[in-house]
Amino acid sequence: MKSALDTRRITLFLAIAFGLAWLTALAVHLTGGILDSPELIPNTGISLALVLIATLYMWSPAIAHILTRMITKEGWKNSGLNLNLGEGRWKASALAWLLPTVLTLLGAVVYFLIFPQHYDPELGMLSELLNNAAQVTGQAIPFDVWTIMLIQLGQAVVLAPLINSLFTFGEEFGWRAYLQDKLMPLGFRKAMLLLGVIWGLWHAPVIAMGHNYGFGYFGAPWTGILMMTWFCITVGIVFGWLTLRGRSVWPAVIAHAGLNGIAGINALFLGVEAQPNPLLGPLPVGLIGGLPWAMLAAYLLWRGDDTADVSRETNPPPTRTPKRGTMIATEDLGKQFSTVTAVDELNVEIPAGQVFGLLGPNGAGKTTTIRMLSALIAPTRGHAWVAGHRIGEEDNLIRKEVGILTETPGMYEQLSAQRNLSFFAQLYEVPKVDKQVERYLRMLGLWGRRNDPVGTFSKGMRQKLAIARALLHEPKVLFLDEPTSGLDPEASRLVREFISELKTEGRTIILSTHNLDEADRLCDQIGVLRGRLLALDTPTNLRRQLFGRSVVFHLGKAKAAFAKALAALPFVQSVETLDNKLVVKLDDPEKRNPQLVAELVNLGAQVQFVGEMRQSLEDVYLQLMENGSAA
Amino acid sequence: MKKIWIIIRKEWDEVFRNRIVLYTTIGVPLLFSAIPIGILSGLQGATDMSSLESELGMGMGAEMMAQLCGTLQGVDCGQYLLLQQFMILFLMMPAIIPVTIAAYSIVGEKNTRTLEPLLATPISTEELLAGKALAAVIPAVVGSFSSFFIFVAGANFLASPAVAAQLFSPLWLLGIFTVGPLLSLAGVSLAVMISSRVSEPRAAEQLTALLVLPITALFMGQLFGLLVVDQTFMLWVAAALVLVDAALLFFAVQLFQRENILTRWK
Repeated sequence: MKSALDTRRITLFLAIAFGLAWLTALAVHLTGGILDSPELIPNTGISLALVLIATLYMWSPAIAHILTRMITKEGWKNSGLNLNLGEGRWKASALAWLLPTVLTLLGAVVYFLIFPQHYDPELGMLSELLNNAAQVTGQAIPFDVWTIMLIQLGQAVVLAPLINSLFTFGEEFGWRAYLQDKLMPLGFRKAMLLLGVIWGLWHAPVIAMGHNYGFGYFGAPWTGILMMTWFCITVGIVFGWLTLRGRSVWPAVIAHAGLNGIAGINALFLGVEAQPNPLLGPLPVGLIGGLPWAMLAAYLLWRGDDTADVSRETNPPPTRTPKRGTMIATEDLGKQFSTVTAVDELNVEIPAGQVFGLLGPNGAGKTTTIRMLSALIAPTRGHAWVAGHRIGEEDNLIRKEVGILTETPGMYEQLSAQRNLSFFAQLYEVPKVDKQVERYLRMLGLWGRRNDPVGTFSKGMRQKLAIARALLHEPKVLFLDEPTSGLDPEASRLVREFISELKTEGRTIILSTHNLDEADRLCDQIGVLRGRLLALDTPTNLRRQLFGRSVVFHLGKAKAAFAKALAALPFVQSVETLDNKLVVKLDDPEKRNPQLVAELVNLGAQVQFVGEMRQSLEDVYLQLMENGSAA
Repeated sequence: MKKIWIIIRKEWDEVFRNRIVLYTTIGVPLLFSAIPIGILSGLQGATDMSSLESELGMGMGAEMMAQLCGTLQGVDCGQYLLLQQFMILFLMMPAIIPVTIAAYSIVGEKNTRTLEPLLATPISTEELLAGKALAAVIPAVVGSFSSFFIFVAGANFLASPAVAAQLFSPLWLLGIFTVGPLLSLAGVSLAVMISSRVSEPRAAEQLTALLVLPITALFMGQLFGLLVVDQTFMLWVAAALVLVDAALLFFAVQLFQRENILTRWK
């Protein structure tokens, strides 16, 4: 599902970006245009036009981005400034660094293959430039012309993407980081094409003043503006794709800077007599010089659906808000790591004060779920609310409200138990740190060892200390990831008793465990997870759903006639004889048991005991896993 | 600010429990002040510029002497030139001392499995990294300042008053009190950045060891006369370092990806 276009913000952004840029262009025009602009610093070539274009004009999209967010109180989420190098996204930045060089030089090759008469192996144009420089400075150029070319090329590849970023950031932070994001609801293809047209038209005044193409070409300046728009569409698609792939504006900034650095190199291969049509090349702003860019753009546009998947707009908004009294709620919550889906479509509602058991095999997504709900990692899909705060929007508030016992009780081994706890208590802004630390150390029987380094503690003691750490700030929600894992039976029992105590205090506890007996004893509700939620209910209901209800009749001596008679009753689903016991499966034992007992007594059976047969949670779990595998 | 201070105190509690770290943090500044004092003491016998020049293997014209020594003449100029060589040493110190501590800062937390509970607290990435960086920078800067004061005290006894007074010139003050801390912050930011990108403490230490190279190059450049460290040069370095530090801090925060650190590092 895609959200609608935010036309109000788009309009405001365009008004600021175009207004500022075109007013700057007007100022340049009124002060002599680009060619006759007054020099700000004599004999340096730094003119008023150059300064105005490099600053106000080029930065107008970034200024528009910032002002639009401020004026419309949009906040700074999805600003595109994050580098996002993880999960293989660094490749987008690396590609951005190299791509302009490759495509631009390829464009030169194509151009000089079509117009071989323009190519000069002696690099005449560059030689003339160097001779002019030598005459002005009075010093001979110490290198030959091809060495100079290689140096130029080297600096264009290595340094230009860094230095030029200062200027290209101004454009990209507006076009790619803001406008592209706002246009994505149109879909990748339409958004890219529209953005390219807008970007091209934004260049119109400077093209009219001779930038990029000069003046002497056919149909100036209109054909130049048209050509620039075509160039902006093609290059913009590549930059836009890099932005989506990198989930950041920086790859586009680098690519744009690299392009600006390398673009002029193509002209250095021209002969002195060559008179190329700037609309064709050899620079990439020409139709032929820019052909490799156009071909790559066409390919990206063709496979556009795939790139649209990584748009930030793909997560639909929540359809509801959690009910009152709900401590944790999730809606289609999911987490994808590269190609692996760790958790998918998780929908749960956990009321305040419940102990919720999270069961599942290794790699089922239990720890990932706990990490998402404790705001440690961000979901890639869906929504969640914890203690009334929404994940992804109020993460710091969530962290204040939750306590977490991680899978391994990491502690600062060289520090004492007391120092470990006081450090975390301070970070959680606990009002009376010393008192609170003492309270929990005493409660968990560690007060006597408070000054000992944690490195000297047994595994059980560390686990207790980690539980104390999770509770120091009196969280409303407590996440316990394998709390008794690796503990001896005595320590496990202590921890379980402590969890029961916490339950009576009204805390909501999420317990992830492989110990099914523990879950059975402690949990009000159980969710069985294997990527997706396989089952969600109370332990009793899970048993009933999977195995139905069965009553066991302990008899003095079981006879085949007894089983046959009971099986004939209409409400009995099945009867099984085990030694001197009859196991009767039926729906409503509370109502039917007296009738069954009467029937057996009439048949002459000696009924010694009657009880409900209880399946273990392990049976339930294994059955669910089996069903899940079959599904 | 409060949380930054909490991190700093915890880091110090932890780091300085390791005696080797403690001794090297104190010992390196002492050594760095002892070396120039020792050399100064050894050269006390030099009575004129020519003998000092011959001992140092230098030969310079009057114009260059005026440029380098200002109003100082003869042996004073020689002594001052000698002292000036040690400025790089005082700049190196705050950059070298903290990098090992900083290199271990993030990857060490991951190693001891304390990073997840730490990131589960309501602390921002900026606060965490600032705390980690400052915990490494402050002892190094304090150490280098102390070392400088010891050096000044020694120079007061061993060099002429005119030469000792030069140690309070804008060049030295700018170097010790501005460039030194800025260099330290740059080194530490880079080390913290490396620490949050690698998954193994040894890799972090190996990579951060490379930080010494540019400073050593500066030292060698000055030693062989390729570089003249004067007030203008120092001002440019300070200005550049402000930009570099700002950029490094920005990138350190950007590169610290909680999710990757938690889910990818084993």
